[in-house]
Amino acid sequence: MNIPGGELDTRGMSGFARRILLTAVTLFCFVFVLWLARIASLAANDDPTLTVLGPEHGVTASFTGLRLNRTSNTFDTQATVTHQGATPISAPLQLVFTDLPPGVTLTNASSTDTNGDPYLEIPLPQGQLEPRNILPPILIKFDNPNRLSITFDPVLRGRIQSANHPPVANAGPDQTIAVGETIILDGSGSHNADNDPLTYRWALITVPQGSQAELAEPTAVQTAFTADLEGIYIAQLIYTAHRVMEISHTVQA
Amino acid sequence: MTTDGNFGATTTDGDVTGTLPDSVTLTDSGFTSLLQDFTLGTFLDFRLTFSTAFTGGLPDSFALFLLDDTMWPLLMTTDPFGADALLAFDITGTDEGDLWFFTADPPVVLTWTASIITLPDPGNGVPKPGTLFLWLMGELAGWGVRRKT
Repeated sequence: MNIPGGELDTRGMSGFARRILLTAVTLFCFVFVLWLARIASLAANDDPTLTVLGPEHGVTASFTGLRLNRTSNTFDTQATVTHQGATPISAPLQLVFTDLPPGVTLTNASSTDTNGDPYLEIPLPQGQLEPRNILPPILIKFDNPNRLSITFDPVLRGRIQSANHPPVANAGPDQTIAVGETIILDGSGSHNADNDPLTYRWALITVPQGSQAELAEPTAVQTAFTADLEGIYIAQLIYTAHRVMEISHTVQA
Repeated sequence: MTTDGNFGATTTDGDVTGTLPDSVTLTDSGFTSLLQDFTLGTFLDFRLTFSTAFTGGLPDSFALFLLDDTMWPLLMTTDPFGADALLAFDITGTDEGDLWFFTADPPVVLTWTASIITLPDPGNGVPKPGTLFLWLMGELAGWGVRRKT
């Protein structure tokens, strides 16, 4: 008999011992193949884009009631998922049972994750859970042949949508300088909570009549110009992130 | 519990003391059940008293069922769990719980009514009687019972 990694030599063994050995090897190979199939199956369910939803996301699941359903011979409870956070959650939303007692199984599980924990995929209207929404109750059914006490603290996993917060532009404080001096304008105080790619664009929207003042680098975080005449100069910063724009305060020189 | 029917054998699971029609106590320490055989008459009256002595895990419930002799629900009800309970008291781990009454679905010639009486708290140092009294009176008058298949 050939097995991966070499050849099994059974010469010199009694017929009975040979049969026992061959049976054991066959069983080992069978179990090994099953284990590989299991690993492949679990890996297919792993979704690294899902986030464990905690209190900081405002998404919670509460459970009401636990009854023996004699028709299905299961212990049933109802879960209610509430979203009090600010950011929408996209499907799939999974309720993962990580701590069921031995002998208790989730009979209406959608699948099992890479840790071997069963999870229930919660249907979301239009594929997402909006803030300040409560989902309809979801029935959860446990097989519990030994009628053990069932307590659990499941984990919610979902995909957090980008909030796309509007960027906040900051062109710096008003300044007063003498004619002929150069002023530096600094937009580095601008920020965007979503960490989207940013662009800056400066413009002098008001200058004294007859002034030839020009900005040095109008698309940089910092720029500068020289006040060639006495008067009020108003510079504008347009700060762009994720196609949302915010016009800055002005700088007077 | 009183009825003009007849009581039969009793089967229990978990921590159950007493015998019907006298007082029976079910302690919330894991799965606890009382299966009481009886031959239906025209009425069945009983009183449930819930104490606030919560010791079990959550979620948890007390539920009342009418079963046939194969242990399947005798009636389909509006119980949202699909367990066909007649009533359920969801234990929340606090002094309050959630009490639900269900109706037969589809309707059959069976009515039940209930009233809830909340008892005053006797104070500390005294074993707490129930804070919730529930009278459930069933009037059984003819049957259009459908059995689940």
